[in-house]
Amino acid sequence: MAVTNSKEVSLASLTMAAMALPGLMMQPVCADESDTVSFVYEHYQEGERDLAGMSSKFQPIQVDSILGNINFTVADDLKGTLTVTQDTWSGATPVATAPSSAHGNRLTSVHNHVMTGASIDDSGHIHDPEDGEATNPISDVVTGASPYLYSSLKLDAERRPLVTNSEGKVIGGVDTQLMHTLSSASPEVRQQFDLNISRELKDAKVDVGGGFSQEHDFKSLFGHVSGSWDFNHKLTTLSAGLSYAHSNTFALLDHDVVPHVYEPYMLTYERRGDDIYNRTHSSSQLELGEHAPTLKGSRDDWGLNLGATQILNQGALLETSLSFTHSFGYQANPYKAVEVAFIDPLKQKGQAGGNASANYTYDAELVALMEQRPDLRNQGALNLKYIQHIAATDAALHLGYRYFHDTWGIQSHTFDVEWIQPLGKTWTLSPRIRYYSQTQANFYTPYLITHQALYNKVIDAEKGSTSTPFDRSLLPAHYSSDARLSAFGTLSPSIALTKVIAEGTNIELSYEQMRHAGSLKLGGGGEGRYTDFDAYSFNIALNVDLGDSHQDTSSSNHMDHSEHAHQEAHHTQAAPAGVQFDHLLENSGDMMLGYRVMDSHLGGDIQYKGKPSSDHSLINQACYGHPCYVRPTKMDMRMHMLDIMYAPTDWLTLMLMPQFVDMTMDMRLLAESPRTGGMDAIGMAIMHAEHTHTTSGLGDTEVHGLINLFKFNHTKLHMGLGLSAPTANVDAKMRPMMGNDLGFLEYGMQLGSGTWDFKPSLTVTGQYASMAWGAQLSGTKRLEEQNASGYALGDIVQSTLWGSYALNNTLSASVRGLYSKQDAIKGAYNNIHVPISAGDYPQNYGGRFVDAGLGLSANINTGSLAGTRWSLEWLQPVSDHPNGYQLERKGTLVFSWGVHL
Amino acid sequence: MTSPQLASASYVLPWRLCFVLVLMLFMCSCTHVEPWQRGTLAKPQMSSNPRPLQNKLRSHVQNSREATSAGDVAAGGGCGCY
Repeated sequence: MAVTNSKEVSLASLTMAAMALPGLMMQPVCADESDTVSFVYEHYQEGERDLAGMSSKFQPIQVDSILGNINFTVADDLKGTLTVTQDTWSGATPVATAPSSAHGNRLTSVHNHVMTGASIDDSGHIHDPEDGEATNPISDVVTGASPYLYSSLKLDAERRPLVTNSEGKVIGGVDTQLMHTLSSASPEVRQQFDLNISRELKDAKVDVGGGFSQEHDFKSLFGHVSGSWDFNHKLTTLSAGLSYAHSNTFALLDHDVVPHVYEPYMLTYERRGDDIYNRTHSSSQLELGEHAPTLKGSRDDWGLNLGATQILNQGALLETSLSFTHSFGYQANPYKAVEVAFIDPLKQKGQAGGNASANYTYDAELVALMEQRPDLRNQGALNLKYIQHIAATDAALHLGYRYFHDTWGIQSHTFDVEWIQPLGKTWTLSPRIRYYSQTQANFYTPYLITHQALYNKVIDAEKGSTSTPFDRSLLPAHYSSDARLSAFGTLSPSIALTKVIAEGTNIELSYEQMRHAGSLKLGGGGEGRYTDFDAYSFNIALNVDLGDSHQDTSSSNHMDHSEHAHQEAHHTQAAPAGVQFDHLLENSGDMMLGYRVMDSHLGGDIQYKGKPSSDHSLINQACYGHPCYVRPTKMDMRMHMLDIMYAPTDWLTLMLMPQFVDMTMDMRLLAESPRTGGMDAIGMAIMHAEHTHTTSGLGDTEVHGLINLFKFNHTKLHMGLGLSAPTANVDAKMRPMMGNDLGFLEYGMQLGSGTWDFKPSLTVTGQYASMAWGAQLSGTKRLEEQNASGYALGDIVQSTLWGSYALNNTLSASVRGLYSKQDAIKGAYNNIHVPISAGDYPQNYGGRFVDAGLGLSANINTGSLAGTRWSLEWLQPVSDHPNGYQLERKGTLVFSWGVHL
Repeated sequence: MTSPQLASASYVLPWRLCFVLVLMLFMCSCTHVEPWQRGTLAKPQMSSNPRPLQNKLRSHVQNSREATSAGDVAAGGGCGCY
């Protein structure tokens, strides 16, 4: 049916005019958004980089992410969304790029060298230019390819690098192989918090939101305002949004890389940070921090987003949007460098120096400089999406295209095709393919060549000999070797499967394979094979419908959970937040979802037999025959648990409990420690201890069956049989330093037990009027003698007793006592491990511990969140009897949330 | 001073005009759809963003491996410095 009446014609032309403006994606037909809660876990894993046959000892990049999201209703027309995300990055990352003859990834490492005048003689001794005395040589350690950024390069008359051996002798023709120089940083944990509130008006919607993102070297605060308007009987929707972000970088530069990168080297060893970097940079500064040179930077980003959605016919719609981003400030990567080959005209011995027999022309000194990116970046993108319903199979075809262009010279195209195919009533299969291609930034370069010396010695009559640095104006103003700015294409086929469990509740699984290659660039001309890599990721999500804000029981046969939970709330007071396996589900077919997070904090003294230990006694006694050098000062452990419960019968409830764990630990040197550092493994491990240790990732996964033994009125007795599967990694290692493998982190930093464990429990609960009580006996029995890393955690026995009192229809308060006994660790690490602290010794683990808990619970009976239960509990350590030397426990905060489905 | 740089591609202005024209063509082909005829459009598979949360996680990882997904950089997210 064509557009006929004049009103519609003018609206259509208004729409056309509006199409010339930017737009945002908005749904013209709003699905009735009920309240939901979701949990998502994703794992991303890259493959190894091509180092021309050499293998790196570094693990490729991997990311583990968890996300929790809740859509809630505040009032009839006011809804909100809260999202909490955490991701952990670890693995090797390219620092710079150089021809393979620069031997950036070497088998041997450890050359302590200076760049501004001193020299290294043949036997590895360093001669200081001033006093000419040789210092002690550093011994080489062979442990696998490690980053080596200061090097030399031989070039021919056309300034092409020549193939040389590791001693710098030319052994072949032109070297066409480029290589990344890889380095590894400690695992990084990033957390993000987003809150969005939206208000529905007649034919319009307004959104206001904000949030922050934090990681140890970067913090960002952001906010946005957007609105959308429906026109033309809601066939057309226009939207506009404005966003702003302010971010700060606080990067501690890599101790392995600092001696080899020019600017941090000059700052650290010659205190010349100001003239080398700071005076020429406004949005970032290099400072010498307590532990390492630090780069501080800040940036501001402004975004404008405009969109339009148009329903074309009963089965098709078109979306389009235009976005502009203005970014100003520090946008470089503080951990990346560009290798610059300095051809000093005064030091040429090759053919350039007139030596006819030399088989090279130029002899260059290859030095890594921190990358420089422009402070200003304006970006624009155009998005198009077409969605077509395919009646034959009731599928939907999604076609997307995105065009991007910015002032850094990068252009990109993204093509997206997805076929969403429902199968039966509850399954949906969605294959998808995405193709992405980008051109390189106009300042991207694998490496640079310059005809000048790195430094110039100037003999001054007054000051004697001084050196002036090279002339920066002879280099480009901006340069980066970051492969993300190079020309490449990516191809990512993926597939997703969704299963609907109940109305609005579903599980989604997806898998994606990605190939990143220069050869995939649209039109050819992409970067070389050395930047290629493959990656895969998989993703699992659980979305749970909490029900409408309007409680309409006539629409469904079964009770909606708000009523169900209302009954539950009246009848059962659940146990405090920290108690697990405390109740069965009442009826056959019931399902329940719960989320729990336990945050434990340790700090203060190191205790032994209930008394604090002095540094002196720690040095002499806590490490069993060896000295201790460092001790932990504080430790934080967070365990996220998802409880998925299902009752196949009314006397059996099955429970699946995946977990995600993250831990951080700070340490310090013990006063009068016999060693404070050194170039061997122990010395490096001690120096490494200055940095915060972090481990994070998937924890062990537990499966439990709860069996009802006895039920009379409100008194219940049940037992639990559980099994813990060792899905967590127990091989977390210290970051290698200068090529030295420092082995495993201490036992307490591993994310799981590594063994199959049997977890039985026996629980009795009772209730009378407003009071409830319970007791539980539980244990953990390791079913294996040792895990993959050679040890097994001690068995655990726990007993707990609690009482709670209902303050009103919603709130109840609880008190609890908990006794735990854990055996010491059996066995020991079966591979490289450098013990420097009490936590590196198995005998120090385990003990007897008593805690007192105080809790508060709320059962929400009304409103959009009806049927949910929120609990908080604080566990205060009352008495600690560790088996050996342990950091004092300060307390645990437990938060749990649950909903009947 | 020379550097081994690859020539950067130039971008063509007519691309944008092409798309606006295509869009305008699309506008002319739309039909009026009554509210009771919108059942198909309301199906979950027709939703513009069927998996918003997974896409959020995935795009954060993608933004860190590509230079240009961060058109929504002002919407937050880390530095992706890895």
